[in-house]
Amino acid sequence: MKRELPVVITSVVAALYVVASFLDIKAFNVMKSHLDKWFLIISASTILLGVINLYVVHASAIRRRKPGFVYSIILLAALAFTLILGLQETSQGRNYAQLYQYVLNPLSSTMYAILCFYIASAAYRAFRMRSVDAALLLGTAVIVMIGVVPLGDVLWQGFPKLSQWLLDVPNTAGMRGIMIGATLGAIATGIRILLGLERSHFGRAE
Amino acid sequence: MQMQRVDIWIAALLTLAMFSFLYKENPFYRVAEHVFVGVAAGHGVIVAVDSYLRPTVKSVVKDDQYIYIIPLVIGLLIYTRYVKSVAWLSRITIAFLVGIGAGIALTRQIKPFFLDQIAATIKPVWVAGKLGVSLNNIVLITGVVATLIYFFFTTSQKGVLKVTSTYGRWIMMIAFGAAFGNTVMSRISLFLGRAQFLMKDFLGVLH
Amino acid sequence: MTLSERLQSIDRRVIYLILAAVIVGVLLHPIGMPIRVGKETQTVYAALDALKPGSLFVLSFDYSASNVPELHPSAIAMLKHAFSKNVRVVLTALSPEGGMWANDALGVALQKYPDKRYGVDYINIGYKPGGQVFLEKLATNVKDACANTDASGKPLDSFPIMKDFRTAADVSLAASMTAGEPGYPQWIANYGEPNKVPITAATVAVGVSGAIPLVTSGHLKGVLKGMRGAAEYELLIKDKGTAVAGMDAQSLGHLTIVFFVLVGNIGYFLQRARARGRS
Repeated sequence: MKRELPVVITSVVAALYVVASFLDIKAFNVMKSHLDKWFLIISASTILLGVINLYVVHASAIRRRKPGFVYSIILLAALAFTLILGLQETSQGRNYAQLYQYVLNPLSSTMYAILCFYIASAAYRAFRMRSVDAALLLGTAVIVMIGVVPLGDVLWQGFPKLSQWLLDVPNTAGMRGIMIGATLGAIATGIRILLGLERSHFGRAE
Repeated sequence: MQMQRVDIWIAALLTLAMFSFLYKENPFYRVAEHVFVGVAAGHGVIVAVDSYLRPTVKSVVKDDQYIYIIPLVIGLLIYTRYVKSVAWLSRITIAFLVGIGAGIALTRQIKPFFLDQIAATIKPVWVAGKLGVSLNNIVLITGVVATLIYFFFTTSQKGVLKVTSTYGRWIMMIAFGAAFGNTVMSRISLFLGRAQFLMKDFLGVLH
Repeated sequence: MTLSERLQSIDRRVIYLILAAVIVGVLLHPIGMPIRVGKETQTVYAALDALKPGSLFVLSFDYSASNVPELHPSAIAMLKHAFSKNVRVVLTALSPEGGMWANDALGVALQKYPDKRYGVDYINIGYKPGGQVFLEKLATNVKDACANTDASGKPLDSFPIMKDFRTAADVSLAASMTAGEPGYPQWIANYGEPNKVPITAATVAVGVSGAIPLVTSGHLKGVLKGMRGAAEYELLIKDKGTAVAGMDAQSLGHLTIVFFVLVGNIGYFLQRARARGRS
């Protein structure tokens, strides 16, 4: 029961969805519409999961006085502050909007802006023409790097053209091959789920 | 976004605290990092509650749409995972989400990302009077096939298969090189955004 | 330490400093390099430009703060373009932070088009959870998909624009400002393809390689490629913004990274030549 019921529900829901999508019959359309709405409600109801996990991990670090537990206190305080403010005045409130603009926005942007420097350092350290594969990777990367910015036009008119050709032809071939393969994989996984053969998403058996 | 002076200082100090990690790990960075995770997690909840959960609960009560109590309960079952004796009930929530996800994969992805991509690859290998187009088509068709063959592990890759899969790998190397070139563009843009903020809004040296 | 070793072991902080100095320096003293408008940007522009006044255009903010420099200028430029054509705009978001940025973009665009009325010429339905399933629902029943509320929690049926926006059949064009997933792949698979709605997009430059096959297969009506695409669009609508301002710095930043890659490789080949000479 504990294992079979969820498998049966998954298969039935997937099968209903597939049938409803392929048959343009009113009853099925209504059913698909309900399934979509149910999905939205169910996924919205699970939103606290991440927050609870964060709380469990950091509350335990604080209780055990693990090294750096002060940072866990800061994290939970920031979380609690955001939740209280947001629930009190909604995300459209003036103070909440300020919290987003002046705290979350700069932190989030800068966290990713740092990658600019890492990618420069990583390219310098790792990009070596050791083999044909590496030469193709490096050559394309350099041409695209120059070709996609206005500097490419200034240095040599051929840079943007070559860069565009690399993107349109060999890149399209490689990425399309990967896309076809990945979709085939997703379809195969979908069929395995529908048939109840794929169960890894339920975790380990008890 | 329009900013006030004190707020700009807060945003600028948090930005600099984050950048300080480039020199080495330090307490300013760690404080900023933990504030970021806390606020970001809280923000996700608030937006989901505001945008969907609150209005849905309201409509259940106001418009007598009691049928939607069922998916609400199914959704809430996910939290049973924290109580060991009934933890298995959380699988029912996952079952619904995965079932619909699988249904979508089986119905919506096949055409645009599989069939249409194959159709877009079937091109003439010889276009009269247009050598460039013909060569491009040949590279495209052989490139897609070779890339797929690279991932074909059912039999060991020897002879023609090995040659084709090597060609497929080269095509992918070019694709990854192009992706890297574009990634550099992305990352520099992100730093540009922060530099524009610091120089324009904070220091006022850029107009 | 030999020259080849030195060339290959520059301290990472020196690289950081030089890169930052170049970018900041060029931001302060722009060169003014000409920006050529690419074919993909022209396709996006033409798709929006061809819309008749009064038709509905859905603009989706599928990004968070971290991708703002690349995608926000595109969103603002497309919004201004739509307003200039008297096209009605529905703003939405698949990213939880997208609703905030939709409001911000509106703030900027409305400074230029202050006569546009909320609920009549445009509406912000904000972020809604569910990704691809939200789009499935949005295609068949907008009210249900949005729990009948706009971004500020007001009932959708209180706005006149919603009388003409009930299903995907009412939409003439949808554009996704995509930072990752959910983004344009979901707009194509769950909204555009099943309902024959043309889809266009702006993507972070990281995603350009993956987007091109969908442009060449006709699923995307062009694509704005990162900050460069935004700069090109700003030029097309003759309204220069932050993207155009950043292009020179972007160029020189790329050149700096290419320079360091070349230095590393020169060091590598010198080392290899020495090793060969010894043996």
